[in-house]
Amino acid sequence: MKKTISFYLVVLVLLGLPLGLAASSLGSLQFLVTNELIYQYNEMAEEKHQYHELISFSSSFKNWSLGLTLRGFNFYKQTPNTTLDNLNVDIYRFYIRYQKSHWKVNAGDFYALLGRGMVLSVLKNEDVLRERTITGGDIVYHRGKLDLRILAGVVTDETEDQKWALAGGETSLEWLKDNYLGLHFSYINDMDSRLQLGQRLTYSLSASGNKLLKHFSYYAEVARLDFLENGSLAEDGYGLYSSLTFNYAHVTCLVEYKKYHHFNNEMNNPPIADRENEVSAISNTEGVRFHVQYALFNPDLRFFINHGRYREYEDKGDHTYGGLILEDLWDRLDISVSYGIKDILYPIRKFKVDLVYQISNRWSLEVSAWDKHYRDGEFYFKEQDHFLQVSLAPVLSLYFLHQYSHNRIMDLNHFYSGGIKLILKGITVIELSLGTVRGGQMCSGGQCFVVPPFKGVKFSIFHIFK
Amino acid sequence: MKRIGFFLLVFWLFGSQIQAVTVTDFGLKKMGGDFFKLSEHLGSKIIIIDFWATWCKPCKKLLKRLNTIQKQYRGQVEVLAISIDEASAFSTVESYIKARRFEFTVLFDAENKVARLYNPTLKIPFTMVVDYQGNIVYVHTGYIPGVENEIEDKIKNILSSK
Repeated sequence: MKKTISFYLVVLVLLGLPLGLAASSLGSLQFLVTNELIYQYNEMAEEKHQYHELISFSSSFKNWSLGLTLRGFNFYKQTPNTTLDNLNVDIYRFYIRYQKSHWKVNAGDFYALLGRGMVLSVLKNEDVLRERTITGGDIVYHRGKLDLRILAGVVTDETEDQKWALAGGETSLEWLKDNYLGLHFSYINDMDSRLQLGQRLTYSLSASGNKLLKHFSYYAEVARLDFLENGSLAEDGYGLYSSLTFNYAHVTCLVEYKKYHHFNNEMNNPPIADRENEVSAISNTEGVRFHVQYALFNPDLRFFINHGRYREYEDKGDHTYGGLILEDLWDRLDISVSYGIKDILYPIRKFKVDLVYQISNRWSLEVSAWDKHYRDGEFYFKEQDHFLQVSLAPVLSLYFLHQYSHNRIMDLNHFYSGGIKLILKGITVIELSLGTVRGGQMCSGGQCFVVPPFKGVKFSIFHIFK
Repeated sequence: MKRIGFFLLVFWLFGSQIQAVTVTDFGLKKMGGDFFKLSEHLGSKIIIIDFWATWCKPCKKLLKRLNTIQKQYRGQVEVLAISIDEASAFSTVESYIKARRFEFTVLFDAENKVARLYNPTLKIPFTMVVDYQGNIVYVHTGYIPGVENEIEDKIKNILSSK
């Protein structure tokens, strides 16, 4: 949606002024405004001056809530090395919500998670700069032991120029104290005639519980995915995820198992059994993970070990890592050290260390570094990050980052960047950074995204008006 | 660039006129499955609301400090640690909290329904102190070691003016 800056200002005046005046005259009206502005000079882009701003209003009055985010931009955060021809202005997000006793009704933009994301997961994932919303309607009913939800709308992926229509729902019932059974479904239809991916119907059954035999909690979900073409079944897939947590005295254990076969409906993000696991394939994968942690206190000392066994198509392998965390040593030092080997397609070794030293009440020093490398016959790869930060509470941080890549990117092996961060009165965060940043594939929560390298200067300011 | 500057100036002028007041009621699932409704807890204790995620390092540092505050002001303060983690991390959140024996209440807001009310761009950590009348008396985004002293000062102010 491209509009001129004058349109933007008209919207701003029409909405902002009356709401601002209302806020000062009506005691029960709650109002919050935030503004995030990014300006960067990006040498990697053809048009180097880049601007991105989000202004968000959120307001509540009695049972009603309203949210509006306006955006001015000439680049997408996901694709910063491409500058758009014009400064675009649009209504980025909008919602109106009504809640009373047992009901919540939402219209406009919203995020949605059904179950644990096996049938539907449309959420913001800041780590990989991924954000989609459903634009439509959402009704939630909660009473006593029963939860019901139904939703429908459209999801637009603006950077991939894709559009989907979807409907979904779920119900959950507490059948025994702290034990729940749930049913979940989603129906997704590709609205893009170019791709013609057809329809996907996904449905699942879940069981979860807490305080089982005092020390256990569990979650299990089993799902089926039907790929439809003109209403007829063309293919099918399935997914299974389960986890069991045990906590007693100083010991915490977590066991997870997952198995996904042909299980991508484009809007799901099933649990990956390990956030550290960069493998995000859900087409044909199986994994089991065991994580155990032993904790001693004063100083706070924890040992942990994690072992996972995974299979993707015909590749099998293990992912093992372990380490220790030491907090509040001499009341001023926190240390975390871990080492891991992931050997699925090829052996990757990763060493990571974090250290925070509280020099005085106000001054602190933070150092973190990691090294990741693998060797597969002649093929060798190595990446490193070294990070140093000095902070003066509660206002100032200065940081420096050195990155290394064995493969030359932008004709460089070494990347240097640094910056200053100011937090003023807790409501204004100003950040200025400059230098080169390596980029590369980032994975988080089962989603991966290739971040392009960056060279230039970046200025951002975030402010809460209150 | 002139247009951008003008636009910013206009907005900031409007924005600076606006006053944030009381906290909006909300309900979220607690870690463990129960339902938590804010209005049922307002009035009897000072409420600290903190938005965090397992992937956010500064958030985890702040959580530890908030747990100390929770223990120190037991009965007077209730800390609500609202996780905005996605579903993949629910088990991780649970084992993280249990292993550290944190005493505060942990709530799940994967869909950011509550986070968006106060913090639409989801900058975390994001912390609010709410007094007995439901007024938001302190807002802070980001964490630098030492910020917890400011939070504690606010608590002392509220307690002394009770």
